[in-house]
Amino acid sequence: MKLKKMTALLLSGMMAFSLAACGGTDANGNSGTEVKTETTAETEAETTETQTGTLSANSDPANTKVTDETLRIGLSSEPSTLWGAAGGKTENEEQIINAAFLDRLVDVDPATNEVKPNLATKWEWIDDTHCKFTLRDDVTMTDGTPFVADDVVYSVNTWVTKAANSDTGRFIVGATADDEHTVTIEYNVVAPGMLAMMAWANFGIVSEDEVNAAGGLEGVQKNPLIGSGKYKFKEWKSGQSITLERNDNYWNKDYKGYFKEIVFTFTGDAAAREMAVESGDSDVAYEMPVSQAATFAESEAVSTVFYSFGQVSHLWYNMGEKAGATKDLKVRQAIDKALDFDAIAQVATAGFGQAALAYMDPSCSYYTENYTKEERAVDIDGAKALLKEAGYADGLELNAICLQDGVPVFTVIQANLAEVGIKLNINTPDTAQFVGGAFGGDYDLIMVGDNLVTRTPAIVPFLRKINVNGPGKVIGGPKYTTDEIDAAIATLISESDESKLAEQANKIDTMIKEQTLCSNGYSELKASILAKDLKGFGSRERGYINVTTLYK
Amino acid sequence: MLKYILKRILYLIPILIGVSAIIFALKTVTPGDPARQILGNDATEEQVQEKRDELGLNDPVLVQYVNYVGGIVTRGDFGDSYRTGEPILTEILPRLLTSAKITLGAVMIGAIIGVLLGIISALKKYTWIDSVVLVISMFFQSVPEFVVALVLIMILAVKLHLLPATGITTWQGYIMPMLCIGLSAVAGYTRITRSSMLEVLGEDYIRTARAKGQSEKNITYHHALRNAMIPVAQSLGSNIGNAIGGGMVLETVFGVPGVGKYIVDAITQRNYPGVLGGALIIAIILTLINMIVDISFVLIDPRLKTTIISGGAKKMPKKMKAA
Repeated sequence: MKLKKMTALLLSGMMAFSLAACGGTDANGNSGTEVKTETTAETEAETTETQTGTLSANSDPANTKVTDETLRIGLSSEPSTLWGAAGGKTENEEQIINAAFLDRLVDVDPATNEVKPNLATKWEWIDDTHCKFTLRDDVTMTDGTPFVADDVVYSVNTWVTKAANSDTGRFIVGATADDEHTVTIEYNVVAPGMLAMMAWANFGIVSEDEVNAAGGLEGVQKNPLIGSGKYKFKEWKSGQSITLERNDNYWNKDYKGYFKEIVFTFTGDAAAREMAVESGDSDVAYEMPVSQAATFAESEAVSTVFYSFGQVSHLWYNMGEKAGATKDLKVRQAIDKALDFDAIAQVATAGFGQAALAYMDPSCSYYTENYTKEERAVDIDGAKALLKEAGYADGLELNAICLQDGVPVFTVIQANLAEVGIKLNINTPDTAQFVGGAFGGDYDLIMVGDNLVTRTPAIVPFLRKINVNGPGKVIGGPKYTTDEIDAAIATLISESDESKLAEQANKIDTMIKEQTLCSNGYSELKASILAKDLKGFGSRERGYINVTTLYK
Repeated sequence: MLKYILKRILYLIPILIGVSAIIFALKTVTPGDPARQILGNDATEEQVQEKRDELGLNDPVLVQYVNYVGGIVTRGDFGDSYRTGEPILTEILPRLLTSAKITLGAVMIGAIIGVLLGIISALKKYTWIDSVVLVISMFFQSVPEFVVALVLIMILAVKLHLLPATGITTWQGYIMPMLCIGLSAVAGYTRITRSSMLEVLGEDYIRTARAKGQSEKNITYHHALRNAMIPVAQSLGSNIGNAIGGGMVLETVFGVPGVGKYIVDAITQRNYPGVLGGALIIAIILTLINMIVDISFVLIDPRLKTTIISGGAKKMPKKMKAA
C-alpha cells in the first residue's frame, strides 16, 4: 500500500512538473492578453492588424538610434545560397537575407503599392517594353567602388542567363548602359507591373568586380561580399548561422540601422524557435504556423504578429481532362453554396482572418469586392436543389488533395459537403506526390493561393492558356480556361492606365464567379513571434520579413 | 584472433551492400523527379530530360546503383547535393564531428545515470526505492524524446535561463541535446545493471567473499560491480546506434548542425544524394562501431575467446561435453 502511494505521488509530481513547464505564465508569474487585432464596425469581427514593409529610410520615425546590439532571427531552415539569381534559384530564406545586403533599382511603398525611387532616382517608359532608369551617383558598392550603369547591365545579364527559368529572368531581354548613370532595360512582355516587381529581393544589383572578387558566380553564392544594401555580409557558419553587419557607408543617410549585426539561425522545430525568443536567445521566430502562433497570442513574454501578405486561398474545381462531376456548373455552384466560408476562414487562420469577398486580397490597389456577405451565406437547400438538377440527388463522391497542413480546412469542407450528400475523400500524399497530382490534375478539389498585389506578368497563372493548354505548368487550378478569360488577364497585365485596373480585375473576377471556376476562400496569414521589446516589424513582397526595420 | 577480426571485417561487405541497396531502392520508388526538383517548376521538359541524362537518372536502376557504389569505392564519392551542388562527403564530415560529440556525451550521461540507478535498484531490491527508480527510468524511456526536449528547453532555457534554447554557438548548447538523448537511454542501462547486479550478487564467489568477512561496500564495488558491468558495456554499441537515431529528431529540435539534421533536411528538400549519403555513412559508422565493440570484448573478456573465436561448444573438450 505504501509503495502504491509513493508511486502515485511520484507520478503526480512528474505530471505537475511537466504541466508547470508548459504553463502560459511568464517569468514573473503573470498572465495576460495582448493580441494585435482591431475591430471593424462593418463586420463586428476581429481582424488582424496588417503590418507593412518599409522604404529605404525608416518607416517608423521612432527608430532614431544606431547601437552596437545584435538582432537574432530564427528561421526554419538554412538557405543553400545567398544570391539565388546567380544559380537560377529562389529560396525564401535567401530572399529574406539578401534583401538586407542587396539594394534594388526601385522600392515599393507597402501602404500604397506605389513604386518609389531607390538606386534609380527616376524612370521613364520609352515604349511598351523599354524602361530607362536614371541612377544615383552617390552610391558605393561593398568593395568601395562607385555604383554605375554597368553594374545594372551586369546584374540584368546575370538574371537573364542564370535565372531564365524563374521570374527573375524570364520576362527580361537585357539591359544597355546609355551613359554612366543611365540604363535601359528591355522586357519581353508588355507589363507596367514589372517596375514594381523589380523592387523584389530577386532583383538586387551587384557589380561584376565584387562578384569576381568574391569567387565568381559559384563562390559568391556562399560568400556574398556584394551589393550596396543597408547591411553587409559578414560570416556564414554552415548549419549554424549567417551574420550580417551594418553598412555604415549606406547611401541613404536617413536610414538608421539600429542593430550593428543581424544573426540568422536555423531551427526547424517551430516550438523550439518560439521558445528561443521566450528565453531571450532570439528576438524573432519567423514564420510560425498560424495555429501554433495563436497559442502565444496571449503570452506576456512575447509579441505575436499575424499579417496578411496579399494572397487569397481558393478552392479550385477540376474542369480538365481528368475531371468528373466538377465539370458540371451546377455541381460547382452547389458546392459553393454548401460551404461555410466563415468557418473555413476561422479554421485556416486560427480565428484571425476573414472569408474572401473577391478573387484578390483587399490589399491589392485594384481590389473590388465581388461578393456580398449574403452571397457567402450557407444555403443547404439551394445546394441540394442544384445537385438534384445535375442528376446527383442521391449524392456523389469527390476527391481532394492537400498537404498535411491543409487537412483542417478540408475537414471543414468535408463536413459542409456531407450536409448536402457529397462524400469528400481527403488525400494527403507527400510533397512530391502532391506536386505531381496538382500538376497533373489528379483531383476534384484543390486549394491553392494566388497573390495579385504586384501586377507581374505571372498573375492568375491558373487561368492562363499557356499553363492550361501550352507547355507551361501550374500547380492546381481548374485545368481549364477560355480565350475570353485569358485575354482579360493579359489586358490586366498590360494595362498602363491604372484607373482601369479595378474595372478590368472585376471583369475577370465576374467571369470566374459566373462559371464558379473556384470558390474564394480566405486571405492567408503569416505569423511571427517577437521579443516583447522589439519594434518596427515590417514585411516585404510575398510576406517576407523585412529585417532592416526592426529596433528596440 | 586475427582470423576473427578479418572475418568481422569481411562481414561488413554484405552488410553495407544490403544497406546501400535498400536505401537506393527506396530512392528509386520514392515519387518525384529529382531533375524537375533541381530545375524548378518553370523548366521545360527538354531541360528536365537533359538534367536527367546528366544525373544518369535515365539509366536502368541497376546501372545507377553500380555507378553509385563504384563512385564510393573508387573515389569516395557519395555524389553531389541536389540543393547546394557540393560533394555530400564535404557537407557531412564537419557535421559528423558535431554529432559524434553529442552522441558520446549522451551515451556517457545515459550510462552514468543508468548504472547508478541500476546499482541502487539492485541493492534496494523490492523496496520502494527500487520501484521509484524503475518508474523514473521508465518515464524517460516512455516519453518521446522531442517532448522531453521541449520540456527541457522550457525549464532550463525559458524559465531558468541556464542554457541556450537552440544552437551550439557555445559549449552550453551541447548540454540539452546530450541530456535529452542520454535520459532516454537511462532505463535500458538501469534494467541491465539491476538484473546483472542481482545475478552477480547471487553468485557463489560473492557468498564466499561475504563468508570471508569482506565489507558490503567492498563486495559491491570490487567484486560484483566489475562483473556486472560486462553486459552494460556490451550494450554500449547498440546504444550509440540508438543515440544517433535519437539525434535525427533532436538535432532538428535543438537546431544542431549534425548529421541527423542534415538527413532530415535532405528528406524534406528531396535531396536524394544527401539522404543516401548520410544514411550510408551512418550505417558504415554503426557497423564499424559494433565491430570494434565486439572485438574489444573478445580482448577484454578471455572467456569469449573460447566461445566466439574457437567456435564455442563445438570446440569444447569431450569431458565438458559429457558433463
